[in-house]
Amino acid sequence: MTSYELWLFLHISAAVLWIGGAVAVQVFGALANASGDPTRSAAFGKDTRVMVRLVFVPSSLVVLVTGILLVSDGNWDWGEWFIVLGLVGWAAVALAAFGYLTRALGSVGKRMAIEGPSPALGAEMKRLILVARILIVVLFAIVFVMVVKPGL
Amino acid sequence: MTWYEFFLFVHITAAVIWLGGAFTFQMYGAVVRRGGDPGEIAVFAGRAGHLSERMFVPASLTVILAGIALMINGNWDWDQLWVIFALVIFAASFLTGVLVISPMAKRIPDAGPTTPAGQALIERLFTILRIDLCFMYAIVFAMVVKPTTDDGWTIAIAVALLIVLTLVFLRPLFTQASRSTSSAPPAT
Repeated sequence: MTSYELWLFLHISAAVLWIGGAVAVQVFGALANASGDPTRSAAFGKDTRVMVRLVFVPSSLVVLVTGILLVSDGNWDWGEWFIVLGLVGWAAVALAAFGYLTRALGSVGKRMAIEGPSPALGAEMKRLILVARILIVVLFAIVFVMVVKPGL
Repeated sequence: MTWYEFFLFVHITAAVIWLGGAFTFQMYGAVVRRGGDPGEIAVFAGRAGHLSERMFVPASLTVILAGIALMINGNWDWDQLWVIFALVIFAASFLTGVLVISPMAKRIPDAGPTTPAGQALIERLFTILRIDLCFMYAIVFAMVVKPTTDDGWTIAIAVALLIVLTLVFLRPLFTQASRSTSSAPPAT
């Protein structure tokens, strides 16, 4: 096994945890929302924050670091389109997901537990889930770019 | 974009949904179980059925179909070690799901998810899923590295890791079994 293959395995494994995990969180969110039980929505918000801290942030960092190692070890050109798009996409998703979405989900979940369900909070939760879905689409677009490597 | 690239994208995407989802399910399970609320644990275990039907089964079928398409389109040989390994583990995982996991999950409502028997079943279910997941990641490793019989050390390290992880994950079940044996009333 070469070091390039090792970085590639770690890169793909971390991407699997990050993106697949985000899809699963969507399903959990939809189930919690559909239950109509505010305590369950609150628990979902709290558990998601734990998941983000324990799984998503570390795996996204592993994706970035191993990606950089792959470019360097594989003598790829940093100006390649798939690398530029990958880096820009990573930065955009990481910033939106970890800088905004996680906190907003946790805060809405907490308010639901305290105030009970309301149309305004329900709408806010739906909006946040929609933002999360858009971010997942961006992540899958990055996977597509990494696999097809347009411009090569 | 070639057909091969298209099948590869579909194959990887489905694997991402399947394995990433399964890992997240395990992690969520750990968080919920740490909370110690039997009712919440039971609700969570009940979600296994939803996730399995709506996410894991379609994703796993897509992985295998796209994989077969890649083999045919890429003119890969079917007798390569990494292909055989992946197909055998996939088949074993599928059979485990049908013959072990599914019947076990169906027994949880009968046992009562909040009873000690139900909790023991849930514990066993999570253990089997965790070991299954390790073998799934071993497939990812085989797909990326594509080891041949010349890669003896790589294969030995991967197998050793799999054995160690399996034993680590089985340990709570051994502890549980020995505890129930020691707490059983003496035979008269």
